[in-house]
Amino acid sequence: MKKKTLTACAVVCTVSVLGGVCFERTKKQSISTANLLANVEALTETEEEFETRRSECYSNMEYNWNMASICVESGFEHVTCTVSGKISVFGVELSGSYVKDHIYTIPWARYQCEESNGNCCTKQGLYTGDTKLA
Amino acid sequence: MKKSFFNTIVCLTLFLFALTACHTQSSRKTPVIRGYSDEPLINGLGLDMKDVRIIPLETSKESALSHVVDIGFFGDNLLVQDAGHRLLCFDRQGHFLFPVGMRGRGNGEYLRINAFAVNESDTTVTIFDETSGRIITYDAIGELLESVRLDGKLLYMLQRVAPIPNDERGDYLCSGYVHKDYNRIYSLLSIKNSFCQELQTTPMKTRGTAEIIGIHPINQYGGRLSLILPFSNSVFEYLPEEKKIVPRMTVSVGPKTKLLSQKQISRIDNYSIMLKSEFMAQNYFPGFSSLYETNDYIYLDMDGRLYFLIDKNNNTGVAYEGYIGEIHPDANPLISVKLSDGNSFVGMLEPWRIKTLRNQFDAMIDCKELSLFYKAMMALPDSCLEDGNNPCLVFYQL
Repeated sequence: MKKKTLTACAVVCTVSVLGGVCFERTKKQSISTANLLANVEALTETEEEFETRRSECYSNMEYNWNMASICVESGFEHVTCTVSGKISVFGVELSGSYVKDHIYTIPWARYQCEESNGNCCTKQGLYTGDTKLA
Repeated sequence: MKKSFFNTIVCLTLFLFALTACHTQSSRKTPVIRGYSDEPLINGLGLDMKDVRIIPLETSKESALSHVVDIGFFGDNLLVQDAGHRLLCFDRQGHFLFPVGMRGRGNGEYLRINAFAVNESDTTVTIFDETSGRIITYDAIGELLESVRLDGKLLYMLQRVAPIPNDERGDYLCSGYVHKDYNRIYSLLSIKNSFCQELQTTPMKTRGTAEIIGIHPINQYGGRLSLILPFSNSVFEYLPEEKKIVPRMTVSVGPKTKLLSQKQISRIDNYSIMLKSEFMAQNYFPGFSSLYETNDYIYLDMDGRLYFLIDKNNNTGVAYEGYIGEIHPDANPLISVKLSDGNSFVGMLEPWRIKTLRNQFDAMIDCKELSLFYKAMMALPDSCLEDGNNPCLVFYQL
């Protein structure tokens, strides 16, 4: 009887450990498969969609086709409002509901156009939101 | 007898499952660092700084920098990556030494510098160029050693690169931009096998621009590769043997700050610093933007707004304002940190910024002798701060 109990215990142990390991692996695989599928999906684009994007990019004189807007640096600038309704960020005046003597934290990002096939560079320079600072 | 046997089996099974779960949990248990939720201190207030040195980078026709993208130590020297796709070598006194390689289509030339990596031996540097698909290695005096050509797709949206410590294959851990639907933020690049393995993705998207998850998202220190993830309050590390990214430590953000759920992150289709700013306004934790490590400290930058300094010796942290609002005589501020080594953080300050700080400080004549940072700043000759000059390096020794 003892022998049988021990054998049963051993079987249960093995099955449990194997089950645990398999579960972990399947979980990981399913995540990476999902990610891969997401990437494949992202890369599939019809010729028509591609043409639309290209012509849209060409239609704007400030955009550059076959280039991508790459963010090379970003951060927050702390500026004090010295005149009500206005603040100056990197030397550029912004208007808004700014209160005198208050400190404002303004997000900024610097973009650069870099060669990249099939992409459109829409931003180049220093921006806060969609406002170009420099 | 049969019943007790059955009960034993059931209990044993449950116990083993619990044991397996506990094992998984315990292997991922990470220290929790407190201190973030306290009101941030004035930048550098009470920081025990041993030395501050400000070194202007030589400005000449060959060494004039437009905008610094990244810096790195290269043996006894420093490498500065310029936005104009140049990699320049300076010594630690700021003298310009030589450019590393040059732009072009010839052998050993690059079209663009996505990233560079100083290899473990500290005697060679490798440039990664997505446009030409080239990976070019130079020696300690900037002479070409090797040029390898890979499919440019393997280097697509590559941002920063770090060699895997003690790796015979010479693989690299890479961070990438989030660009529209392209979401591979960390990958393992094997040049020998011409292979790039995805390690970590993000469900976020951008609207046309390529956005960074951080200025300096990977840090190599003491044979350990640490990294950050967007909107996360943890510091992660890459385990080369397991090819896995796991949490290293978690910063407790306190009850007032909310963490974004995976569901919320997956709904983001316009990721950028502007969006981070919106989340911050709603009391969400924006994540860390850069990570630097020394013997005793881990510096976690939060886009220049705040930084969280962790003392590795006692696993405690202090949050500081990332800017200089109020000039305090006892403060040794850490500003614009871009690099770290054994016992120093290295910052970079443009001349106009130093001039502004000096003017602010001039108004507080009584306190001039008190802070190492201000002392070093005031000692700089005016000629170093002329408009158009290269930025200055600031070595903060803690």
